[in-house]
Amino acid sequence: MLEIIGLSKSYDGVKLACDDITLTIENGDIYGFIGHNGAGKTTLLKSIAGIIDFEKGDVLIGGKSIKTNPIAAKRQIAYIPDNPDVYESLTGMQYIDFMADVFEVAPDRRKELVEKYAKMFEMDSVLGNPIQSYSHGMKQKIVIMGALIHEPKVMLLDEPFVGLDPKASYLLKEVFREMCDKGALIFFSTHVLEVAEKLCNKVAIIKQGKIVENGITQEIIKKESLEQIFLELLNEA
Amino acid sequence: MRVFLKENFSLKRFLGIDVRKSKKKAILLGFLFLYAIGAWWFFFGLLFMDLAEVFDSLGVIELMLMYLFLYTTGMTLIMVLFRANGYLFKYKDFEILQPLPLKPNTVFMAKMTVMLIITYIGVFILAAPIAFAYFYYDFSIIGLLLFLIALPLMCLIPIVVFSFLSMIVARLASGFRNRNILNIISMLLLFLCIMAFSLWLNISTANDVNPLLNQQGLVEGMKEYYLPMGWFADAIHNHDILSFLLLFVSNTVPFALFVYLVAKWTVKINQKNMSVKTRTSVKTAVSQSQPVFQAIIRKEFRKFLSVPIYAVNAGFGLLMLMIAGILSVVYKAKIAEFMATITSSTITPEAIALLFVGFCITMVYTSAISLSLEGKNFWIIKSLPLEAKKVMEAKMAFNVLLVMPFAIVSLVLIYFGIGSTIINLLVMFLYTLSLSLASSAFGSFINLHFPKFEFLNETEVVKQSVGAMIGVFSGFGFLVISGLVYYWLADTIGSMGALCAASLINYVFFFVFLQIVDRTSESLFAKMSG
Repeated sequence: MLEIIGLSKSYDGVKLACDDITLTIENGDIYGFIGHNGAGKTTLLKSIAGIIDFEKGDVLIGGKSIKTNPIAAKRQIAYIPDNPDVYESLTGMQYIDFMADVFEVAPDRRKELVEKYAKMFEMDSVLGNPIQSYSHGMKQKIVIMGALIHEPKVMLLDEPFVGLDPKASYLLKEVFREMCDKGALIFFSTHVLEVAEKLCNKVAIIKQGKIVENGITQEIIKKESLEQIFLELLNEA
Repeated sequence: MRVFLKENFSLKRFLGIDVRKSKKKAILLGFLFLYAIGAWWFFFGLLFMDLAEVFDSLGVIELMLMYLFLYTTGMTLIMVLFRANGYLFKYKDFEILQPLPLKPNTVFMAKMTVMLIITYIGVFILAAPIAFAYFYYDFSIIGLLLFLIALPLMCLIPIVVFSFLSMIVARLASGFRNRNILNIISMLLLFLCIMAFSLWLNISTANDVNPLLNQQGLVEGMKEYYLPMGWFADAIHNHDILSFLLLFVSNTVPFALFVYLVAKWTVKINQKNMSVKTRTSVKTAVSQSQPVFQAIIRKEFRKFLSVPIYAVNAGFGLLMLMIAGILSVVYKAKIAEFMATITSSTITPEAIALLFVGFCITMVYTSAISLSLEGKNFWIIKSLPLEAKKVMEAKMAFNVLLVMPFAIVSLVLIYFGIGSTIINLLVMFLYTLSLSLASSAFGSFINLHFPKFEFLNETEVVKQSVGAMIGVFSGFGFLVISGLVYYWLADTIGSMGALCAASLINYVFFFVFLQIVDRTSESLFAKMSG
């Protein structure tokens, strides 16, 4: 379970990028996180992943605080940024090995998962090539593979479908569902409201650092589409 | 152009910190830079004032201008050698600039201007004390005006020559899969060529009065082969307008031609450098597992070899170590002869050899910049379940593991070269290890406090970051401390005893900085945004 408790973060000490955000994401949830540009989506995801510090509140991952027990908390998560900036000097395989080494994935299991995901994302023929030779989509795929290699319980993704071809997007959604069936949770930001509507069992809408709407997707879109709700909320003063 | 200048020369870019947010740190750094420049100007100013006095009394004060020309040319060559590739032929914003409706000449000239400004800053810092010494004895308004115009002009030929060489290297290397290794080897070879050429020209007699007098041969040698040097001196000293025009034309024409002819080609080289050659018959990549610490070190090693500017600068000391070791065996007899003239019961050949070995070791400053070089990849380290201290320790270990194999081979060769004993070799090894540990721990400490994650190319981190500057100079600081310990103790406990004491102090430094890094890295990592 992922618990975000009263999280506030400011970059300049004046304006809050995240303003007292409280959310609970249960195991098995695919939780979509929607907001306009600059609403605070990336800030929240980075705060949860322990990439940036935050002033107030806490994040509990499987009961472990990212502030007071970061290593134990991070052991359970995988974070995928919106821009796949990875170690370009490594080959795809070396990058995955590095991630697997950090999470101490057993060699047999590692081999099994590499084969599975390399085949799934059609990366098996290029794993020996340097990452700098990859296209944007391939880099995105290698980051996803690196994240999946340790079978995380919590997946945090920032705009995961940007840059992926339709087939890879479809496969990633399938991976999400498979992971959630096994009890993991997915928390991701997206601009594609259709994806959130169809894929996520829960959604949250963030506006100027505050959660303005959240809950079970089907309940939220009973009367109006997610797009209409999103636009209405944005237009509200 | 304005965008490039703002992008490259803001205070944040230079210091690596936001001045508004870290005022104390900015003030401290400001003082540090002023102190470093002041110390440089004062120390070399005194030497050059001394030299100018000698030349003035002999009626050859214009020789000072030739010294100035020589130093600035050397400085320009080195600055361009290490920067041209990143600034002109493999710039990171190529993908942004290329689709814009800009002429190749415009982009190339703007990029060249950024490199020129950085070069001129270095040249000005170097040339100021020499120019002061000259004008102190031979001041004239016209001379000063001509000097101010000629100084930037005279750098243009070396800039063209080394930009051209860098372009050839970049063009040739772009066709190979292992282009980074080729770039590293080519840059090291070019750098060694500069050094060898300087030695070849430096055929003067030794002089004990002022070490700068020893370079008179180099100055005279260069004047003979490189005419603009004489024109420069004539123009300023004799106010010779013809010489000034010759200097002007000889520098600006090749530069203009270079910009005009090469601009289009740089587009092609950048395009080629963007694509990466891969194997056509790719073998199935095999997974290899290893302990976390080892995995980080291996990652560091791959980074080191993949960034030529990093490998050449931070690894140059390794090459020097090898050269010193080999030369000590090849020129065994000459070294013995030389050692006999300078050694005594307290100043032993081992101590002298260690001074050089130590100098080379401190030039390998990877730990002072490797955290900064994480750059945009820093999110990976931060999101992984890795203790910050483990990351920093791995970076230190990489530095030591990089240095020690070269140092050991060099020490063994030196052992044969100077005919030392096994015990003395062991003491030399102990000292070398202690220095490597201390300088790597201090480097990590510095990089933790002065990281620079925002950069357009790695040159900014490797050559121009606060971490790099303090990293190198602090290494020399450890050598100075060792020297003082040796000076105080060698008489009473002997040379080897003093070296053991110096080693012990280095181990204490290592332990102290390791503790500080271990204790503070977690909280400092949390504050870094990367």
